[in-house]
Amino acid sequence: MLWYKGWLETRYRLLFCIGWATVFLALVHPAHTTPMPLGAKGSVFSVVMLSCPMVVLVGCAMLGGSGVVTQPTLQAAKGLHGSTLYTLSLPVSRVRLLAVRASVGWLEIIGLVSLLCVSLWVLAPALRTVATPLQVVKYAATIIACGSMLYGVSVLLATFLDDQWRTWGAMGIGVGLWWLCGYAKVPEATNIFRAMREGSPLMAHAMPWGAMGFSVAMGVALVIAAAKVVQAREY
Amino acid sequence: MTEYVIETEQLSKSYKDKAALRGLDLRVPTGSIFGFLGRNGAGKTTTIKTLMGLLHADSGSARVFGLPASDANSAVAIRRRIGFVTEDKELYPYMTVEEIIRFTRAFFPAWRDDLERRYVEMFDLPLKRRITELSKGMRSKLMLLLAICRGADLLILDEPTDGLDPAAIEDVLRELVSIAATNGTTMFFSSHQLSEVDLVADHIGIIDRGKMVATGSLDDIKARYQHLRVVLDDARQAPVRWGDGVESARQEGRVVTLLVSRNAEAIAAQAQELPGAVVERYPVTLKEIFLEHVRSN
Amino acid sequence: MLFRVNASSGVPLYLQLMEQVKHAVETGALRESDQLPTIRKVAEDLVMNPNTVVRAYRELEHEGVLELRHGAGAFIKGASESRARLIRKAQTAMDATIERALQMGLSEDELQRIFASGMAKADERRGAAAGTERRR
Repeated sequence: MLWYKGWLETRYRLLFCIGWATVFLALVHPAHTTPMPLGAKGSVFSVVMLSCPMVVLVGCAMLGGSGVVTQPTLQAAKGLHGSTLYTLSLPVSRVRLLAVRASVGWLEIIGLVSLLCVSLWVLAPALRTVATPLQVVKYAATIIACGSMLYGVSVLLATFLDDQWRTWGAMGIGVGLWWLCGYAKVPEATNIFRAMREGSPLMAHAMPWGAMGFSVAMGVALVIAAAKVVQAREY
Repeated sequence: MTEYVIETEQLSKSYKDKAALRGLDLRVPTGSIFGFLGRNGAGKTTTIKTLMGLLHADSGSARVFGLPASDANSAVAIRRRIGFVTEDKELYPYMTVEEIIRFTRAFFPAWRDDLERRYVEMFDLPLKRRITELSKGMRSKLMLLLAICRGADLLILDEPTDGLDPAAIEDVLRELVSIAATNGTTMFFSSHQLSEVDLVADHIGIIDRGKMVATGSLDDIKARYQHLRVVLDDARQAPVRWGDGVESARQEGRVVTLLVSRNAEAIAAQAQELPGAVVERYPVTLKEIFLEHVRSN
Repeated sequence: MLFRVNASSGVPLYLQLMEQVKHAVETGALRESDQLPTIRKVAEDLVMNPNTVVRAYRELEHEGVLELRHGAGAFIKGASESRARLIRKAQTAMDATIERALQMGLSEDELQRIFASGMAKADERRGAAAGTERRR
């Protein structure tokens, strides 16, 4: 039933993310008729490069969760309780609560990214002329792997912030990382945002294993940290 | 089956600057209906949260069903046998009544379907309505349903009748009494409704400023406590010091009213010695005992 | 419901309940071999602790007012029935005396004082007969 609860908590947010992705898909549409060189502004590629990371960023911020702290209280003055007390009174370990909820969000992100990539493939014939299905699959995998770190951040924040604060917090950190990756001297292997754009299989025709590995490792570490926080914290 | 379903020893817990529990000793006999009384901020909710494993105590021990409440694994085992109603009665706003019942039921194999049907009807719970749209009274009743239908061995209820109208309070208490009578479920509840606690509880504990100031069987406590009214011939003959056991002494003219917590016989004899004294005894209500303990400290 | 209790009176609830049962027997509401309501029913109807009811029933069994038959319930005992009959007879005799005294013009207070002193004298007579002294 914890899976069901996670679904109930996130279904509307997932819908929102899909809607957000649809905006980008709409942008792709006019670009498909004009064949342009790779990487040129306005080409289908640039739209894809922009949209996918953004969708993943928003998705991670919105769908991450700890399974413990959810709603802001009806009476906010009393502090961070709300339904947390009820959840923690159930005969389930806190780690399990976190694990299920984090998994629900993660599966939704995988679904979201897959849906986005499939839609791009279907809606942009221009894409089909320059890329193979396998490359798109690799691309999806890259996005998902590079999103791990962002997701980990979101889950960690969710252990002590309620939904609203957590969403904005995760967005803020995500945007901050984006800026960092774009304008600061960040080693190639850790530049996840670059990996999702220029370094991705669609552009560079090679998998950015370094960045992917880094992101996944960070993601796992952050989730483990979240589990520790949830266990130690007092509610 | 352990003798005490809940047992704490010198339980202490502080938050930043405030000491919420200062060496609390609590013993709740198995199968009893235990009224946990105290003023707001005395430490009732902190105690309950520690028993549920939501807080870690600074020192001292807490055991439920003989298992340590502080250990994560036994805490899960404990929660499998407990029904809990929180103080603010908050649930998942995005679920409907029906959904949260289904959700909770999945965790408890011993779920009582018969009681579920009974309470849905008795409390008139709208199954399809979202929890955000329920009044506090409705949420209280729903939480009670969720707690009772688990088939738990112990019910921990933090102000279960808070927000309910008198008719609903009556219904709820009757159900609790019925469950205690049928299943021998232990009930540990905190309440401000002293007259209810007087009727329904067989044991009580009064907590004040993080410490237990009076505890035991309600019958014993009420038997030990007495009002003695002493009418003297002369107001000046009132003794300055009374014997051991006198909690308070108030004098108005020639009439001295004593509240005695033990040794009533000895005190009455002491009063009888005074010239021309007429000594009368009156029983003490729970409310008077409570006020005496939380004011005098 | 046959019984009523008052939580704020200060009198222990089990004693109140015992009085209620005895009163029910005296007035004939409960007769010999009648089954009393179950402990659970009394606890539910009066919204009171079941252990208190248990205690009251046990004390009444001790006093011979009822007997607890294992598995079957609590039943009024025969002996108490004859006691109740005695009480009713005495009540009838007293009613006649009271009526006469009031007709003579005595006030209720005077009547109560007469009764109290009459009881005291009877006590004295029985105390003297038994050879014991009673301190007033």
